[in-house]
Amino acid sequence: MVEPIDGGAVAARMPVLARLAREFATDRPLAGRRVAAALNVTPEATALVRVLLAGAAEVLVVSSKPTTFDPAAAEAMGRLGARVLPGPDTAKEVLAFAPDLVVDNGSVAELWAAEPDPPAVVGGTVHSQHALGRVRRAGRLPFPLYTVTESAVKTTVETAHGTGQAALRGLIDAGVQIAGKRVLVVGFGVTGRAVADYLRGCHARVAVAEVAPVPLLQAVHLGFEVVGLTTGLATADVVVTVTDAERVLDLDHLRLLPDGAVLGGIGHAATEIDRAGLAAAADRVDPVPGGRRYRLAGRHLTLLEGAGGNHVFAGINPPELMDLSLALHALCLARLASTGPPPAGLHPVPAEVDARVARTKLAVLGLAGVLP
Amino acid sequence: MTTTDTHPTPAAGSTAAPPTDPPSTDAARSGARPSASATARLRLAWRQMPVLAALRRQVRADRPLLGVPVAAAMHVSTETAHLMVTLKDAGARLLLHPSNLGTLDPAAVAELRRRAIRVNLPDTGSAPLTEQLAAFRPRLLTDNGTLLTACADVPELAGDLLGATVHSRNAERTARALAAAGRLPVPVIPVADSVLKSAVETPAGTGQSTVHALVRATGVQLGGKRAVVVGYGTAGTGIARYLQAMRCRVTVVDTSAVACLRALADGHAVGALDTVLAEADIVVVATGTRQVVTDRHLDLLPDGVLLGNIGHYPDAIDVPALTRAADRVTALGGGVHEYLLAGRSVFLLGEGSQLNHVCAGGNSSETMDLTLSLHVLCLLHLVRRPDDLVPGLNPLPDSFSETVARAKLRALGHVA
Repeated sequence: MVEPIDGGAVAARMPVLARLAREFATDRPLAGRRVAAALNVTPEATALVRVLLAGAAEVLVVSSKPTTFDPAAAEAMGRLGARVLPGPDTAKEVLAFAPDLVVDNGSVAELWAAEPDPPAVVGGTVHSQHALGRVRRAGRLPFPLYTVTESAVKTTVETAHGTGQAALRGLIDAGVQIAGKRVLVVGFGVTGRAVADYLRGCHARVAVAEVAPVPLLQAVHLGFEVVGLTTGLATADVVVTVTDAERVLDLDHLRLLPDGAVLGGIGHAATEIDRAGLAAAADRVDPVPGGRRYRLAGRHLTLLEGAGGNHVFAGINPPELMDLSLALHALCLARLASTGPPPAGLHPVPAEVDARVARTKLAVLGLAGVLP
Repeated sequence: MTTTDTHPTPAAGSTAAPPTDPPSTDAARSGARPSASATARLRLAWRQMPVLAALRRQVRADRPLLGVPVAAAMHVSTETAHLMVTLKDAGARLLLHPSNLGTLDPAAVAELRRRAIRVNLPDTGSAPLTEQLAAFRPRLLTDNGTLLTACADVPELAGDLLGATVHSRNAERTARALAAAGRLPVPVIPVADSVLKSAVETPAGTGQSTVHALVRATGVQLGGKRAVVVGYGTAGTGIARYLQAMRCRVTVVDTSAVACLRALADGHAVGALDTVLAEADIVVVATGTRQVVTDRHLDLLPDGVLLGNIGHYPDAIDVPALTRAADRVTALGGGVHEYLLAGRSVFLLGEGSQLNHVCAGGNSSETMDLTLSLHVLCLLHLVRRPDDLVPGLNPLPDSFSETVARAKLRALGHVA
């Protein structure tokens, strides 16, 4: 029996990691390995740290960003036996730690690319599209990284359905009745598709705007109305942006929206919707549930935001889903420690790692019997 | 089929020809199928392929394949006939080898012959394929694997070949194996790799045609039925989604844990084949494997179940085992057979072959427009840019899918 940890309510919703913790405690796959993990210091991440420690690793947690730093989670990680660097300016300590394995948000790759003679790293994982972008831009990558963010489990289950549900929740939290609303979803990647699907499921009338023809054609064949951005904005009650671009909606776009429109961003860039421009141009701003209400040339627009003013209004994925990708990290690290690492560079998550996480999840759902 | 149409084919390029007259009200009221002329049906299908039609107009002007011998191995259907005619309009000389004589569309064959396109039927003089290819000396192939294999046996053909497009996983494997063995070192482009196939053509095309085949062959009311989809790949995903949209209660069976998890998240139930068969009203096998429903499952099939296969292999359902176990087999027409198993009736659709082809017209021309257009772009690429290509499998350029998607959106009246 594994001791409950702080954030027990969260841990209870992460059964895959709980199983892995038990297995790692027996097999000790990370014995003698130093793991540097650049993570959002949250109760969910604590569950991953517990697995790494159970696997007998020495763990250094580097806070990914101050806005997500949860002191209670940091304390829990410390109590479990990890060292936590709240940051900023962690470079020297990370280099001195000389990790064998890393969970990277991009900062480790940047650090190693910039350093003339960095310590050798066996390999690691990279955990978001944003992090992946940082790694790609960092230049020379002297060790292998598994791209957890692009794994089948992460994209088709966690990202899609997590964000689909979170978008609905964010809108409902803000007091929006979904049924019958004309919703414009801007961006039709895996996540945009899920958001559109969930909204349609709640009886919104969903239109899709997208700049790439292939996803747009897919949207047509899934029965969505497809529109040009400016056309769609003019009749939208609700706009959700789900892109990886900046400045998708600038002030000129926002001026097209009808009075009373509600909009929110889920994409990667804080500047996906020009909030600063809107704030500067508005002649009145009032806080409302879930965000702020702006008066722009006589019309009212509500721009949703996440906790602490985060640009992502929908909040993070539920722990049940983060359970999956965090488990992928743990298993990728165990694999790097036990088998010869692949060559330096980015690599897809091995199919058997994806399969093991999916199999474990099915087992905790009581569905182990569906597989041969 | 009665031919009442006095306009045999559209003049080249007139893809916007008016559709045929609607069925008479008598025919509509009686439910009888109106007698459509074969050429009118062909013309309607081609009209539903606007991307290929646009390419055809373009190549008719440019003649980029002037005098180039192109050998093709594919199903002979109205849609592939449209591809052949497009290549002919591009200036190519053609040899079409049917990949399956069982799926030959007589109207398509007639139209191809009318246009002097050679279709390699058993009755047209039966030299072995290798000899025919040796005489034809193809420079391009569009293939299911048959032609690559045959060409590898004729060493002098390798020097002529500019390359091949292939449209099945099987053909990809053949190409990879031949290249690895150094037997046919020509560039091959796998059209089936296109995101248009996995994201649009297969889920939407096969999803719709499977539902259509079930309804057309049996008249089943789908709402409320318990449907089991075996295999949750791109086809199974589309089929499950279409059945769900028709208000079936869908259970997915798959050997991959990732696929099962995806199915759950998409709102389906998941289960093991042995467990879920007993409750099934409809079972659709959509795997890429053989021997999925076998003799050990026959006792589990409930009375009245509709059973069919959409996968590539006709032995995914062990029909000989079903036949051996049956006390009686009755042909009900429309591609449906009733197997009486110890007092239970099992209705097999399509005799175990792809039920959307046997019991309905296969995937829609509208969706096939996408990959067939990709074939044209790839064949032109093989001719125009040989230096960009390496022997063996080459990736399908992403821009081709973009181009085709853009043209399709435009044809559908959407901005792109």
